Amino acid sequence: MTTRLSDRLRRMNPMGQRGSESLFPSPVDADTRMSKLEKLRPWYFEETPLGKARIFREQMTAFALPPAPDLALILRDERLSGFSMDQALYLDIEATGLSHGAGTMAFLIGTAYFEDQDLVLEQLFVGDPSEEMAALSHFRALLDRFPYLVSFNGKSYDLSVLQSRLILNRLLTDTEGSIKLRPHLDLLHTARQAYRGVFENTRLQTLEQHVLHSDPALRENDLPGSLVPAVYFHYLRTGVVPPLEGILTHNRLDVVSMVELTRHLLPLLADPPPDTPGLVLMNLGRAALNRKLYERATTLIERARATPTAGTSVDQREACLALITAYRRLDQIQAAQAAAMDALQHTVAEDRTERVRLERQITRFQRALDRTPHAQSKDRFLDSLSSSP
Amino acid sequence: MSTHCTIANLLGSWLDDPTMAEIVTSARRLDAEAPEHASIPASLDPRLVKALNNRGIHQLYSHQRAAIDAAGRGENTVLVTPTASGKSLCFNLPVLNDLMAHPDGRALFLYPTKALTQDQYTSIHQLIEEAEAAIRTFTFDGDTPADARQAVREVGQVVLTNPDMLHAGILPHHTKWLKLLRNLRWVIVDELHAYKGVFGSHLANVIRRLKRLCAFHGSSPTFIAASATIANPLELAHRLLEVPVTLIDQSGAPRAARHMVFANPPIVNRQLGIRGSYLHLTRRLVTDLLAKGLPTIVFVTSRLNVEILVKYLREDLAKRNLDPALVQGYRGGYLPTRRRRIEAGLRDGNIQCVVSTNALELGIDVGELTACVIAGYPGSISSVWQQSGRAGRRSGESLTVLVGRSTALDQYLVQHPEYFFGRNPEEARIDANNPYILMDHLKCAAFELPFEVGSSFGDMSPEDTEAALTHLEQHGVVHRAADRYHWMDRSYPANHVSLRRVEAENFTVIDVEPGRDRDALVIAEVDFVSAHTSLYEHAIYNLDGFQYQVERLDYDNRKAFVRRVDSDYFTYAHSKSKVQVLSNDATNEFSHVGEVLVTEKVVGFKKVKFHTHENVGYGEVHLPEVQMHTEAMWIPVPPPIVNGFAGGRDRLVDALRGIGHALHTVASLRMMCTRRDIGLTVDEPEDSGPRLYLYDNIPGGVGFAMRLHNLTAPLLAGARELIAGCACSSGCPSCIGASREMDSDGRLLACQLIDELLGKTKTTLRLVPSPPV
Repeated sequence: MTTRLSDRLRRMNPMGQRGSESLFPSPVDADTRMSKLEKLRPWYFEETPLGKARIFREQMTAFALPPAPDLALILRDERLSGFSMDQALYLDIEATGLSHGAGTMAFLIGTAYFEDQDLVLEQLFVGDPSEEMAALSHFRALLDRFPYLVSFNGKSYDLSVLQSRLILNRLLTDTEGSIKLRPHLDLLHTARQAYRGVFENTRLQTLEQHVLHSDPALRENDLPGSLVPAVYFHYLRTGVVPPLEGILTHNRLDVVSMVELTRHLLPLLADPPPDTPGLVLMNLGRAALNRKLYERATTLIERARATPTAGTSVDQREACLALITAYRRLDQIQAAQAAAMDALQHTVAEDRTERVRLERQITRFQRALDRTPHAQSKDRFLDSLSSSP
Repeated sequence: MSTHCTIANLLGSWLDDPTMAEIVTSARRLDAEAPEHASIPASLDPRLVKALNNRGIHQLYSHQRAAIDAAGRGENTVLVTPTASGKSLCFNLPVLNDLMAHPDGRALFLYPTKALTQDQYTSIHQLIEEAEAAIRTFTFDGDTPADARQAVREVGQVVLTNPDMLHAGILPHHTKWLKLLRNLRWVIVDELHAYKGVFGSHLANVIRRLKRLCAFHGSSPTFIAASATIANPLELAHRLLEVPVTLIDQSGAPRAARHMVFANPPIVNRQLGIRGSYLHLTRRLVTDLLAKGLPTIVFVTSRLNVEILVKYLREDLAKRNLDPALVQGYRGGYLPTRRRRIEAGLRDGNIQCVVSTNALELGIDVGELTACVIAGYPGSISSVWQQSGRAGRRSGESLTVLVGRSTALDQYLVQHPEYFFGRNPEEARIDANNPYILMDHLKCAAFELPFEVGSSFGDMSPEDTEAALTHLEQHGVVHRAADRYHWMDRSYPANHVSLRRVEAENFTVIDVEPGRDRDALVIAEVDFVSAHTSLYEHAIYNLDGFQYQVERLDYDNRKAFVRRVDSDYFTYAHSKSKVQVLSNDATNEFSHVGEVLVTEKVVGFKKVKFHTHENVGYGEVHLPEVQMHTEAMWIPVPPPIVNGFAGGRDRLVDALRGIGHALHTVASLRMMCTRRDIGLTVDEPEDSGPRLYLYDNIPGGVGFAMRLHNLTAPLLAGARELIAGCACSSGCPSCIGASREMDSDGRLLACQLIDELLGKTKTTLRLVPSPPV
């Protein structure tokens, strides 16, 4: 049916560049497209109150799960109290755009969780926008099954998008708070804490390569994230299905990597293994210091200092300065003074201001110690001065 | 200062002065108006009543009471009241009263600019504090820090923002604004008249999106709007808000007596119609006011003129042994401390005169000013009233002088002051269904919430909505699945839409020598179409009173490189425009209206000397032609008139061009726009007689053409009056245009043609200027 407006739109073409044709032919009809989609995967359809959710489900034998450290303490996040890997839902979405506004749709919700001895992967795929409600409904059910969420940058992206879509589809009631407030372990933040400055960046694929030592062949033909929306739009318009394979594979790799990364990070946070690089230990120590976990900080930083200098080396001076702060808070004056003396050793002669500052600090410590019987440290100090470079 | 002088005495001295006889075209006194009171309604929360009482308010003005009553009945209202009539209370009281009774409720206040938003925040916050109510109020705009934004979303009960922020920062993120949108009870739209033309057409669509989201989230707010006095406040409110609206336009506020004087610099060259400098005249008048002890505010049209006039006035005061520091300049962007100093100075008499641009916003209290001098028409009659209202705020008589520049519109107004004393003829026009603007917002709306098939966007019919969504689908940004259209693109549409423009292809103007160790500086942006007539190489581009010459135009990258110059001429582009009629949508006795394709090609430019208007050079321009789809009205000259016209066809076309020039002026006044917003062309198509076209100079149109078509007869009559009453001898830029050959009967022929078009058989010649009232 044409109206005056449709005539005007045709003539003026406000969407097009000056004078160009419309960019796309009419989309292929939905039925044709959907029947082609059936061939992509053996989909499993889960019944939900809002229709059938289209799922690709895979079951894998799980590895042994490491014990979980007290994340509530180490990461200073009360909500993560009692966290263990088998009580978490691992989450990574693929969406139509990067913005956090209401119009960004998650067309693939990649999830994984532990069931008995297996790791189950469930990819919820929105084959047609009318299937979104069912996918979200199933996602809600998964959310309710698992008390913890694990994501990579989900705090600022994945959960934001899902929250918006749940509201648009009226799947969150008035009284429920945002899903962003649920107990959530964001691996990006944790990975940054441990690996800042160690590799070229802390992106998932970088960590996959250097920390998880994944087989690079797996990512050889990986679809870059920037092309994902275009592939989905292409499928919607033309019904061409095979490129979707790239999205599903990419998402699967991401989700599995997240689970592996969690398995790697938990012991690292609890008690770093002996071969942990000094810089990583230093990062963890600094993070502990920032969180006012002083015992943990001193343990980690002392270890960092003691590692043999292989690969990236630890800035000894910086480590000593951190130790001074930590030991002072723990009221271990002797250790603080020792750290100050070491710091002085690592301060160049030219930096007079800094040397003087440290010397004064050492003197103050000494006075505090002299109130207790530790006069020997004074002699030690004088000795060390005469033998300093 | 010498002894206190009354305004009446001053005016007497002016009118007695023979040199002023030619200058003062009109002087009239508007009588004082007594207030009309009404009681404070019993439904008002006692805390608010107490706050009012503490301010010395024990009764309300009638319009304030009417506003509160209408709001209480849940009626959408539009208030039209003059400056300083207690307008803020008209919405602050009902909104606060309601939120005190419904603490979960929310209110959204919209202001066109951040500065106005800040001022209103202060005003409402003060009232809340005085009433000791715990209502959380926030401004939300680009300056709101990230951590504060979450707080506003969660707990803000009154949120003040501007259209740009609502459009790009709130609506697309509506899922984060649940508390506001689920509980929205009030939407306040102040300065409604500011939403005209392109800006208004955009805002209408932003409001459509807002209402759509409110419906989704389950709220149905009441709208309260406030407008300056224009001819069509109710129509504007209907078009912008698309809801039933009650009009409240009888002000119960008192008004002190006011003297209005219109001044025109004397003619110095009758043949060319050139007048003396309006700034010199302003200087003379203001100096006289100050010498007679009357504190004055002066409004000028550019920052440069602020500096110039302050300098002149200080020189004059010094000559009379008065303190030059009595005069202060004021420009937008002054820090609060500097504003407070000026206010204090005005209060204690250390400052007797403020020279300001139009930027003097509501936030400065100018105290006891007696006189207001407006140097150059500020662009709309309602602005003149707003500026005039700055004087005489605390009872006592006031004086306003409007000094005309030599532009066509200024001249028309100072010679037709009846526009200020009768009904304001200015109309604010918008077209919410301008296809370019509509599509931009439809994209944003689809991003915000999928469209159900068969639904309507705003007041549009379901069929039109469907047509528009189909257009989006053909361009691949929405996808239809089952019964819904879903947004399917990775972009964030709101970022690509500016609420002040139609198409984004602006040219940037870059100063290559900005000084201060900078390499280059972007000083302005010019829309695509205007760029062809103002940014060709060697053009003189004017900005803020300064001149720049275009050294190089990088057309493909949309950049113009300019350098400051001090030139004694301006440049004027000659373009040939062709108008092709695409559809004839309506016809009446005098004109037609419909959709057109305007093709404009700039062929060259003239260098024209200031004041004398001599041609001092010519240059070529090599730019591609520009095509624009828009709406136009056209006046055809019927064959009998063509054949019978004294002087032949060529003279007729010339006369038609002259009429067009005058019509352009009159139309710009009525449509409350600048001459640049309306295009003018005369052509002679082969298959019909000569035609005159007036078109919306904005792609897609904003509603001028249709309205002008309905007003053709009165507009022609207005043009005739303008031409007949002009003081020049044979035609000038103020009436039929300067580029005519200077034959002595140009004006006569134009009047004759108008008479014939209007069906009058005899032309009565009256080519003398109307005497001052």
